[in-house]
Amino acid sequence: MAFGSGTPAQAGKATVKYGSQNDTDGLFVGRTVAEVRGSRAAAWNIPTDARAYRGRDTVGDDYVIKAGDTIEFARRMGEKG
Amino acid sequence: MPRFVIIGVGGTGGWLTMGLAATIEHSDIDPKVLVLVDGDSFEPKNQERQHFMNLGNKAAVRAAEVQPMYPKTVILPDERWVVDEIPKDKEETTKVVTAGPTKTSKEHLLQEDDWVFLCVDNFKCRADVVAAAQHFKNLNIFLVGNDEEYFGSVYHYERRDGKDITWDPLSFKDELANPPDRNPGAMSCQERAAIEGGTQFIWTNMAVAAWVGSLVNRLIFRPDKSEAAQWDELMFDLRDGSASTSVRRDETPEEGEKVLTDVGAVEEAVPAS
Repeated sequence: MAFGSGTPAQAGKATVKYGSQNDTDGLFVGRTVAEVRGSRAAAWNIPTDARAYRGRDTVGDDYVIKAGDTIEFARRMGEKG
Repeated sequence: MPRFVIIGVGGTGGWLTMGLAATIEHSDIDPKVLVLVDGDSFEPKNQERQHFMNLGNKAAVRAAEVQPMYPKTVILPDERWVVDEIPKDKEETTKVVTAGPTKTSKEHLLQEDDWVFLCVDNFKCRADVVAAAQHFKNLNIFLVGNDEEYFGSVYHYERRDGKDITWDPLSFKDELANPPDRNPGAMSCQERAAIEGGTQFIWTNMAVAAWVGSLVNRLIFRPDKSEAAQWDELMFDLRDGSASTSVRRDETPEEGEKVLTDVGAVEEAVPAS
């Protein structure tokens, strides 16, 4: 998986999740949420309106992922009943 | 023993009513009480995905049609909209009820130990009920919903002994913290009539009811303590057959505790990290 040129990977790993899919890789460290979202969106079918969470806190697309982070993409709850 | 309260008995709520009534009827739960809450009425167009034999208020019609099948269970209709504040218009006050205690309402819907199923059509009402939950020591709320034809979700918010066991969804679900819609209970009849229902399928309604029903079955009717079976949030998509679950609780029980104070004020005992 190519991120293109940019910040070199740092020591440690981070985990990215969407639904039942997840991946732990040192390549995520130092990348922004936007970059990781873009690299996984097609393969994991991540909706464009899915929010990124670090625990229960929302993080923006410009958040730089740190070693040990778990970044979860989650879509909003179902609206209708 | 708890009451079971279904708020919104249209699509998903209707199927959940059938499953829950049958399960309560044939369980050891005592007393057997199922409360159906809805201020809306059935229309002919609803027959595509909701089963009913008569038109009229959904809670009243649903209770009348289901009660004969389950004589041991008391099925109580409540024909009011659930809102966050009672309006000043006296003509409207009998048509609405708040979920929890407020400084201006004489009565409210929920009681301690209730198991509440939020099967409504909007985020604002969900947010109103979750906010009201802060005033109860023991409450279980299941937020269920579906959209985009085949997508559905379930979230279990549990409060026990005055503490949040699972994460308060208002604290991290932006669609609840900042609802993009309005509570139909706070609208005029004309405004409600203008709401677009969107595309829903009966199969997705059924699937949402099945997922939440199975969770409640394992929590209360046939307790399952195995860690492998524990989940607090589920999202599924019938289109590709996918389903994923998540645990939404703190590893350290002391984090995120909240304490009850008088109505209208909730203090956070230990700030969540």
